[in-house]
Amino acid sequence: MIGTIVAQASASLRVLKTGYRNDSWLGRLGFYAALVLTMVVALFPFYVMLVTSLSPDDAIYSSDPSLLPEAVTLSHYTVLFGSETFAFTSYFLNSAIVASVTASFSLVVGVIGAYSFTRLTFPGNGFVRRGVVVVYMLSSITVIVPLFQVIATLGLVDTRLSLFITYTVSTLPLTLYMLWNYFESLPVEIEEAAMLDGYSRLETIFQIVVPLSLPVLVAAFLFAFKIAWNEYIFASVFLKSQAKLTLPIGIEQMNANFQNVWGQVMAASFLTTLPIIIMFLYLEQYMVEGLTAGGVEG
Amino acid sequence: MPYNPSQSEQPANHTGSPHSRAPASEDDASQSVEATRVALSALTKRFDDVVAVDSIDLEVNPGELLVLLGPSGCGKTTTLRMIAGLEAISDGVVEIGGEDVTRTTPQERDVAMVFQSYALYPHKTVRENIEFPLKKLSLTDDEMAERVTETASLLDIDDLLGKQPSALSGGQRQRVAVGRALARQPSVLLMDEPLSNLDAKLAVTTRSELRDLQQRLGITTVYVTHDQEEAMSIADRIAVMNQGRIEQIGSPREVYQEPRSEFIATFLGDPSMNVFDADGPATPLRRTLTETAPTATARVGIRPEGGYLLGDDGPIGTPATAVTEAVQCTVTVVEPIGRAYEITLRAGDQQFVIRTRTRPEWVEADADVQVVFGQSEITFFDETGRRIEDG
Amino acid sequence: MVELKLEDVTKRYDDAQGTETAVDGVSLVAEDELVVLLGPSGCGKTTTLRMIAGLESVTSGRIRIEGEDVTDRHPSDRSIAMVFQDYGLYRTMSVGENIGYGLKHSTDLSARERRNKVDAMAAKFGIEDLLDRDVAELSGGQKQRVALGRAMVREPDVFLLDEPLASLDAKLRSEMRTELQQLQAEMDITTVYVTHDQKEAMTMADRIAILDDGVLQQSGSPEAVYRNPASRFVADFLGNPPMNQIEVVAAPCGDPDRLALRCVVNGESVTLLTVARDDQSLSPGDEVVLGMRPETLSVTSPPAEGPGFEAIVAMTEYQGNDNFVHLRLGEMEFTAVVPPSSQPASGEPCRVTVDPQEIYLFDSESGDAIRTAGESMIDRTLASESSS
Repeated sequence: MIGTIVAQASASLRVLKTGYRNDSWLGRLGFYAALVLTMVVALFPFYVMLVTSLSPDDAIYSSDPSLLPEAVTLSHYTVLFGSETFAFTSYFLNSAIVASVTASFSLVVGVIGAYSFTRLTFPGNGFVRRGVVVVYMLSSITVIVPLFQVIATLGLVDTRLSLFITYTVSTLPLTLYMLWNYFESLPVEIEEAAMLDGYSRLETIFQIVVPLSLPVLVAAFLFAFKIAWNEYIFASVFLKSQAKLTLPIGIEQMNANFQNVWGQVMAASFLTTLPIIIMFLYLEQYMVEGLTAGGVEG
Repeated sequence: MPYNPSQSEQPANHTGSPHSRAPASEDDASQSVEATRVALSALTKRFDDVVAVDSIDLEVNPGELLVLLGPSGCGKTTTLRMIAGLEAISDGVVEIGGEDVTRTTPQERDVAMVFQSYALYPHKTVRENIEFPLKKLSLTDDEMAERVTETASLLDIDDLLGKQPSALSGGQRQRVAVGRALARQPSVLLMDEPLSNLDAKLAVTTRSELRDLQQRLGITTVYVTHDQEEAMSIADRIAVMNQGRIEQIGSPREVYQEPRSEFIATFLGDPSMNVFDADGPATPLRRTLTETAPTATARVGIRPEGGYLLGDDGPIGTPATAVTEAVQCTVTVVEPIGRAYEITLRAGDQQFVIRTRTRPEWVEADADVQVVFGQSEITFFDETGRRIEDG
Repeated sequence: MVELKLEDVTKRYDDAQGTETAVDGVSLVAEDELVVLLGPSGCGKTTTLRMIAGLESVTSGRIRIEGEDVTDRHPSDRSIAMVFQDYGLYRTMSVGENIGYGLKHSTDLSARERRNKVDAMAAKFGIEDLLDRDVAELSGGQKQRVALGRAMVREPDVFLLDEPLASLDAKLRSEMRTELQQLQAEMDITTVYVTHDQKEAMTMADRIAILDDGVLQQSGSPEAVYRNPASRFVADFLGNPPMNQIEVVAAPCGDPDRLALRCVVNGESVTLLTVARDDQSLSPGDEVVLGMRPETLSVTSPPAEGPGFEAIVAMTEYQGNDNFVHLRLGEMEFTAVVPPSSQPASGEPCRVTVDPQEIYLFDSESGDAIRTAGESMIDRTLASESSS
C-alpha cells in the first residue's frame, strides 16, 4: 500500500516536473521496484499463514524453520472440518450470519440516513453529522462497559441480536460517512428530474440514487461486513455459549484451550480471510467509477 | 407606478406575430394537447434574509412560450423552480390550469422540465430514460412503446434508443432530455437554459427546432435564459427580470423598441445601446443627442443601428425617420460580424458603437467620419432610469 | 515583437481502440497579434493550445517562440501565460495572493516590488478594491478579471486563452470581449485564443484559424475568411445565420451568355438565378453547391414579377437589429437576414433574389470553393497593399 502511494507520488511529481507524462525506463524501474516492495511487505504474513497451515506439525515446530514447505499436508484442514473438538463450521456460520445481517442493516439505515443528511434541511443536521464523525473516532473499548450494562438490561446477553445492534451502530458512522460523501457528488438535478417525472422521494432514492451509488454501496457493504466479520471485543463480552461464538472468538479459544494447534489455528485463520478476499474479487466489478458519466453536462 | 403585467395586452397570437408559423403538415396536429394557463401572483422567495424573487405577478397564456430573461442572480431560475415545485414558496400563489398548486409537490403538478445540465438518468438507456416518466401513467405496454416511438421520431433520436447517455454527444443528450420531458405530454414545459451547454453553432439551429416543436405541440412553455438574442428569437413574450423583480413583459419587439428602463434598453440588443449622461460639457455629440430631450432627461441612449455614417450622397443605410445634424467622429475599431459591421467611434472623449450593413472602403481605423442619428431612435431616461415616453 | 510558430504540430493518442489523431500537422505563425483557433467541439483547438502551453506533449512537429524550440520545455520555462475556461484560481488564496503567486515563484522580485506589480495589474482590470477578498466571494466576471490579471502580471511573451468567456453571462461576455480586445491591442502581445463561438472569433481576431477534425482548414483575417472561404465547412462555420448551401445544376438558359443554376423542388426544376457564363468555371451540366449568405438575400412579399425565385415564409426570428426570415423551398429550408422593419407574414409566398456577384460555388464532391464572393475584395486588398 505505502509503496504504491510512494510510486504514485513519484509519478505525479514527475508529471508536475515535466508538465506531462514522459515515462523514462528509469522511472518505470523505480515504479516497479516500489510496487514489488509493497507486495512483499503486505503479502508475507499471508504467505506464512498459508505455508504453516499446510505444513505437518513437525515442520511447524522445527528448530530450523524454512520459508518453503518441505512437505504439504491438508491434515489441519481435515481436523477443522472433521473433528468434534473444533466447532469451526458453526463459528463460520455464526460469523457469516452476523456479518451479513449487520452489513445489510448498516447499508439500509446508512442510505436513508445519508440521503437525509445530504438532501434534506432540518434543524440539527450539521450537529448530527459532526456527531456521527465524532462517534466513529471513539474506540469501542471505551464504551464496552456501559454498553454491556445496556445489553444486560435489555436481556440480550448471549444473543445474536446483541451483536446485530452493536455492530450496526459501530459500522454505521463509516457507512454514513462514505455514503454522504458520495451522495454529495451526485447531481441533484437527476433526482429532481425523477420527482418531476412523478416519482416520490422514496421511489427516487431506490430507483435513481441507489443504482447510481452502486460502487459506494458495494464498498460500504464490504467494509461493514469486514468489520463485523473480524470483530472481537463485543463478541467476546456479549457471547457465552459455544454454539453462538463467531470466528475470531472461536479461533482464540482454540488457541487458548489446546496445546500445539498452530497448524489448525493457521488453517482456520486462512479460511477466515478467504471469504473477504473472494467477496472483494467478486464485488470489485461493481465498484467501477464513473457510473454517472453522461448524466449531466458541464 | 409599479408595473402591473395584468394590464398588459396579450400579444401572444396577434396577427403578424413574427412567430406565427406556416400551417405544418397534418400529422403534427395529432400531437397537440389542450393548452394550460400558468399564473403567478405575488410570488416571493426568500433565502434567509435575501429576497431572491420579490413579489412577482405573471400570467403565461395557454400555448405561449414565455421567456424569463435576465442576468445571473436575477431570480429567473428560482422562479422557474418554484413553478416546478422544486423550491419552497415563501409567499404568493402559483396556479396551473386555474388550480392553486402552491403547496403541492412536483409529482402532483403535471409539469416537465428540461434542465441546463439535462439530468439524464445515466444508468438507463435512452429508451428507459424516455419510459421512466411514462411508467407513472398506467399505460399498457403497447401504448408505452408507441409513445416512445412517437417521441423519438419527433426529436429524431430513433437511432439512439438503445444507447447509454454516456455514448451520446452534447446535442443528442439535449434532444433526449427534451424528449423525456415531452413524452408524458405534460401540461406545462419548463426549460432552464437548455442551450447553454451546446456549441454556439449548434445552439442556433437547436433554438429554431425547439421553437418549431413548441409551436407544433402548442404546449405552454416557460423558458429561462440570460441570452437576449436567444430570448428574442424564441419568445412569444419576454419577461425581463432584474434583482428579483419583473421589469417589463412584452413581445420581443415591444421590449426592444419600447424598453421601460435603461436596464432593459441596455440588456437587450447586441451591441448594446450607447448611453450618455445628458448633463456635462456641451460636446457636439451631447448637443446633438439632447437637442429634443424632455426636461426630466438624465441620460440619453441611442442604439448602434440608430447611427448612420454620412457618405457623399447622405446617410448610408436607410434611416426610417429624419436624422440629426452630423457629428464629427474618429473610427477606433471596425469589427466585421459577417452580416454587419460594428464600428467603434470616438467623438471628443466619448466612445460609442454603430452598426452598419455595409462598410464603405474609407471606413477604417483612425479615419475621420461624419455620423448622423435617427431622430426617433434617440431614447431618453430620467434620473431613476425609467424611459421617458413620447408625448 | 514575439513570434510564435507551430511547425507541422501533430498530436496522437493511443488507446485500446487504436490511434486517434487529435491534431494533424497544424502549421501556424502568430506575431504580436490575436489569433483565434475556431472550430466545433472536438476539432483539436484546445489540444493545440495545450501543446503550446506545454500541458500536453507533442507527438511530432516543433513549437518555436522567438525562433527558439520550446517543444520539450516545461510550461514554466516557456514564458507563456494561460487563462482557463473555469478560471483555475487558487481557492484558498485572496485575490492579491492569486495575482502575485506566479511572481513569487518565477521571479526574484522583492515583496514590495511584487506588491506594486499586483497593484498595477489590479488597477488595469478595475479590481483594486477586491485584492483582499477571498476568491469564493467573487462574481463570474470578477473571477475572470483576476484570472486575467494573474496571467498578465508575469509579462509573458505569449498569452493563451481557452474559452475564457464561456462561463459568463451573454451580456457580461460582450463587455469582457471588448475589454480583452483593448487590453491585447494595448499590450501588443502575441495571443492565441480558443473559442467555438464564431462571433467572438470574428470580432476579436486579427487572424482566424479554423480547425476541423484536427486539421487546419484555413487561416486569415476574419473578413477575408468570411468572404473567401476555402471550403463548405469554413463557409458554414463562419456567419450567423450560417450560409445557405443548395445543390444545383448549371443549365443553359434563354440568354446564350448566361447559365441558369437550377435545383429540383417537388419534382420540378426551378431556376434560382442566372450567372454570366464567362465569369464562372462552369459548364452546362455541372453539379455544384450554391452558397448564399443570408444577408445577401432580399425578400419581397407578396412576390412581384422579376428575377429570383419564389419561396414560402416559414417563420421570422426577431433580433432587434435584424430579422431572420426562415424560408421554405419544397423540402429545403434556408434563411435570409432582412432589416427589422421588413416583416413578411408566415405562410405567405415571397420572391427571393440574390446578387450574382454575392454567390459562392463549391465542388459538390470535395466541398472546395470554386468561386467566392470575396474574390473581388481580395484583389482590391492585394492591390492596396502592394501600392502602400
